[in-house]
Amino acid sequence: MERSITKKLVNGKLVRLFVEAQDTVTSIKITGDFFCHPEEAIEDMEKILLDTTIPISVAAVQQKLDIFVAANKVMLVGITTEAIATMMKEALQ
Amino acid sequence: MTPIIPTTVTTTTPIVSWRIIPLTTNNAAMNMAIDEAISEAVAAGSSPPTIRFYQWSPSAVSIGYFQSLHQEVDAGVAVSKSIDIVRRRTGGGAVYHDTNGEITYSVIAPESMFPKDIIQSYHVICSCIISSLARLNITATFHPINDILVGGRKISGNAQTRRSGILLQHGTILYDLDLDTMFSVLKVGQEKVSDKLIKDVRQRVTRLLDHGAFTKEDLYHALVAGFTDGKQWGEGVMALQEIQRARQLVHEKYSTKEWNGRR
Repeated sequence: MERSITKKLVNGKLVRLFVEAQDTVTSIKITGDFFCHPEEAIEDMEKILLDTTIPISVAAVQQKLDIFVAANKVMLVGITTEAIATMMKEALQ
Repeated sequence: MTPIIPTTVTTTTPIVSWRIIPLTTNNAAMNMAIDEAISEAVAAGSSPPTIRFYQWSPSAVSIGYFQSLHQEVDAGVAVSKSIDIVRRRTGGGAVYHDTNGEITYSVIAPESMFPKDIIQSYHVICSCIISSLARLNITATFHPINDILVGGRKISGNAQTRRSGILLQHGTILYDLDLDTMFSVLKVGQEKVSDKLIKDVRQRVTRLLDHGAFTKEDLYHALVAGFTDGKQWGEGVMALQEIQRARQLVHEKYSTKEWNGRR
């Protein structure tokens, strides 16, 4: 079953996350009015998050995203990797 | 006093001449396609840095690159009211572009002409709008990340992308506001649109008409002056190659379900 969570981030933008999982994450979509440069990187980040084991470790998910962001010089504006990781966990609780 | 006349001029920055494309009116898909076609031409070096001004006819909703179409827009209402829907290549929120309610601009230029820091670059370009409004005796301020406020209320939203070394920033300056149509086509939340919600939005948003008996032409002329101030520029038109590419992008991208419904 798909679960969703919506948050207006402090000093940031509105993020709406849709996630499906059983033992692992089977689908995830990160939507909202934030900015990400280059834009396509958000789809790569979604792919990275597939197969994440349940229960979610916020630190592990954030680290995985941080490595991708740094390696690909991705710029996030109005959204953070920490927010994505935290929202994933909250959506699946 | 004797004027100081330099005998030699040295400069480290080449003088850039901007192309200003005057106000045009297009449908939503064409407006977004033109931005992309010009971006490609500037990236290829075949077109100069460009500022264009435009309107949307029919009225349209544009959604940000990362937004879910289904979550943001009531497509049925849009169809029934002949309102276009298009996904932008920039992030940010959903915007209702009323044909008579706003002027939109795009700045398309090499990234190297702007601060690397995203917020700073928003500030630089938004300063042109603030300067435009000052010409109408309206005091506006930049509100990070990407808004311009008058009296604490939003009058302009802006969005930016950077690809292939080119910065594209587009944004709207609100002239009038048709809240009934806007709320009917935008999904603003689970709750029914209430008088309180409309009042709340009215308290958060302002339009040029709240600040004087201006015409849309007044706004347009102020914008041209504000955006060109301090720049070397000339009025121009789209090159044939840009027009052809824009038409191709309308057909292959901005009018397709694959693009507009991709999230």
